[in-house]
Amino acid sequence: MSRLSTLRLIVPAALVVAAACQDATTPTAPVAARVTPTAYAPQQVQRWFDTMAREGLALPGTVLADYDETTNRAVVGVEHAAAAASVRALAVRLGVPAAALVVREMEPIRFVTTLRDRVVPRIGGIQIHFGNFLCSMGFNAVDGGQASFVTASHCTNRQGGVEGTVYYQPLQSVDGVSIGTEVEDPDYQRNIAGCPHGKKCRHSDASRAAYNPGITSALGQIAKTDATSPNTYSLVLNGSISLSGGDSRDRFTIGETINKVGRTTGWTQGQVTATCATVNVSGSNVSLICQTIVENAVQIVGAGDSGSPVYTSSNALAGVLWGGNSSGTLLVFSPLKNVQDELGPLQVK
Amino acid sequence: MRGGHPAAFSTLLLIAGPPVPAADVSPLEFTISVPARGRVGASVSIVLRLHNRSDRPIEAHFLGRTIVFDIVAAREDGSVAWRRLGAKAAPSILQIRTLAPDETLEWRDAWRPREPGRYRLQGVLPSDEPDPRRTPWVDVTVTP
Repeated sequence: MSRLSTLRLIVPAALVVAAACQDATTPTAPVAARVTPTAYAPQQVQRWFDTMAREGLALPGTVLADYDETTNRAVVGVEHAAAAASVRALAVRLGVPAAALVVREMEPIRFVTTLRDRVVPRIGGIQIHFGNFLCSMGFNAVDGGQASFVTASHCTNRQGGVEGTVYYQPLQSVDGVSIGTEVEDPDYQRNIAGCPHGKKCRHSDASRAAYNPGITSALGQIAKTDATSPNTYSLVLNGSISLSGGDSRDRFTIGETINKVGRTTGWTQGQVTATCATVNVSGSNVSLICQTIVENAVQIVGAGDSGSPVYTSSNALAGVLWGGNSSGTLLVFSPLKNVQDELGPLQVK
Repeated sequence: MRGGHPAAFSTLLLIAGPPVPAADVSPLEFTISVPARGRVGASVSIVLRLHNRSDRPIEAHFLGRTIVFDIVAAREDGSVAWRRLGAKAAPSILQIRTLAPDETLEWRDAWRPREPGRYRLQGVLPSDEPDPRRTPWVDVTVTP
């Protein structure tokens, strides 16, 4: 914590220094309160520290090294007892007195990656960028052998119709190599069954983009955050969820629990309150036929969650999120069945 | 952030005409302009403005391909008399827009009050922040 900000801190290059300055390096009690500074000259201890840092951090299982001015000791953080033994053996070999060294076990420090960062391979739920807009990647799909991802139809340069929208992940300014190009986004049509008078309709707000050559993706995987319960809005990525398959329903059960993961509100969850509803899209002449509405008392959707994968309690892919109310307590998604009816059969797992 | 429950603003003075600035030091100033008085059944014009008062470009995030804005009219007891968006479903797309120095974005709508009384109005701009950008509340007295 703050004490460490005054220390010389060295961590392996692959680790995140910012994270190292936080709780993982905090001892259970202030070292200065129970350890008397060594009698060695600080310059001598610093030389030992330099040697230990250079040699010690090359050993497997080491986490960090720092020189603690308050106790005048070199501190080496290790993941486990075996690494501690290796560090102590190294100290003996280098002539570093045991009294000038503290070896402390601690959690390894990892990169913190969020849903808004560059994520490789690409998985559902992470941020995508096109033009002046951000959305969420829905899910990976193979269509006729073509590696692709599905997102919302309105997450293209023009909603309905293919105009070759180019996508970046997470931002063009972060990674200038585009990940994919829009290849499918059927037109919205008037006078189809169930379409309100004067409106243009589809049964799904979904489009498909083909991955560019060299872009890796993980079929059947959607982002998993570090949240242990839904609706906590953590965006920190902690692996992925394996989809159990695709849910073939277009009508979900009222009260059924539904999940989504997206770049703005992370993993959220609510209950189905309407199924196969025709929904007018605010601010447009578009209506979407046979959509599912999910609600909660707390926020479950936010700006940028469009395109998010929606899934059931058994991790079956249920559809693509496209909208919500202004307070974010209501989300609307297009069932996967409707998506496949319009985009064609998709291999999602 | 600014805002809060309308009941917390019971001591606000009536404000007419000039925009009410936000009570923070953000380079983006979000204000609402409404007349201090209205009549039942007559439109009350409402103007929201987002102004970059700094000397540098500022990137802002908004909900919607066409920027979505909300307006809330609350009674003195805090209950909502009118909400522009209500429960309408809008696409959850995030728009990135850079405001040049001194640039102002403006949104307009009107509210037609149905009952006399004292009301408080607030503008809201949803984004990807946990709390949307809000104007201060302003008072409007509606007479029969």
